[in-house]
Amino acid sequence: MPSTTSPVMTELHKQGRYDRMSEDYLKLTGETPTSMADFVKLHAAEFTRRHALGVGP
Amino acid sequence: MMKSTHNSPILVTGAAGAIGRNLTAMLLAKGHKVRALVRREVERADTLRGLGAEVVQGDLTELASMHRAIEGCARIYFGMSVSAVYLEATVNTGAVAGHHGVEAFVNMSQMTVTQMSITETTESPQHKLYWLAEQALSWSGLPVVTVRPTVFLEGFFLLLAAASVRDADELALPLGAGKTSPVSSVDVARAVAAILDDPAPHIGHIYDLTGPESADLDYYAGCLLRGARPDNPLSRRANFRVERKTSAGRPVGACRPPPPR
Repeated sequence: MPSTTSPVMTELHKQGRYDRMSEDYLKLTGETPTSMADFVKLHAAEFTRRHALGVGP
Repeated sequence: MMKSTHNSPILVTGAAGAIGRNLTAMLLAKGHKVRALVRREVERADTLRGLGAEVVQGDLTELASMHRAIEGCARIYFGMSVSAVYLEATVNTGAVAGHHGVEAFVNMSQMTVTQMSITETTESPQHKLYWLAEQALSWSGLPVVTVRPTVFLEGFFLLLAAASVRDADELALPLGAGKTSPVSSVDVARAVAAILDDPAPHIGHIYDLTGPESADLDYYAGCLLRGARPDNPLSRRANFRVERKTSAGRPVGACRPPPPR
């Protein structure tokens, strides 16, 4: 599985090596993979300051 | 029909990790028995048992461990974080799986392997290990299904970026201006669960898993701002910054995300 922090990944991203799209998830599951918009909605609390939610200092 | 092996457990390696844990829950929900392999008896073992899995402790590089883990299983999910013993663990697990005559061996690889070949792999020793592991499994005669996900949404946007988005109004990731198509690790687990539920049609196949969009950081920053519900303060961040870093420490420039629609 992919690691998240290596300098190599930075270089490969700059080279465009991660600019790829596949429909294999749809073929396997019949569903569309999670989009960034879905992901943000799902994890909204983790991107939001606690005081802004009225639950902390 | 392979559903006849429903009674033998499916082995899930790396069961304490995000994919392994989700996969365990999904397979149990489909009615399978799951044997969850963990490296150490940790708190997660209780969570896995709570889900209904049989938990075994073992080391992927040890013969005795893997005989104990694999015996009685017909289907295996093999996934581990890359490390100095990754290739050793792959070959050790594959050898024992072959001895026990498993009907499906799902190997968690990595998307960049798709761009490698016998004449060109990569300058990254870490990434090359995935290619080498795939090579070894292709010689093994095992009924292999290869899954090659790209980077994970959770790794980029929760592990690396959530704190700075939350506390500093900044999305800073070391991607330069490159595009990327991160996939959710939950989706990866769901795809593997679909394969293991009925592996026969998938044997010998390779599946690349990406998200539904490939874009640069400005786009993802726009999603962070626009995607939040109107009542979420994230949707009103006027000073949100995007830094397209070219290394772990050096930003090359900051820019504003596109204006909200």
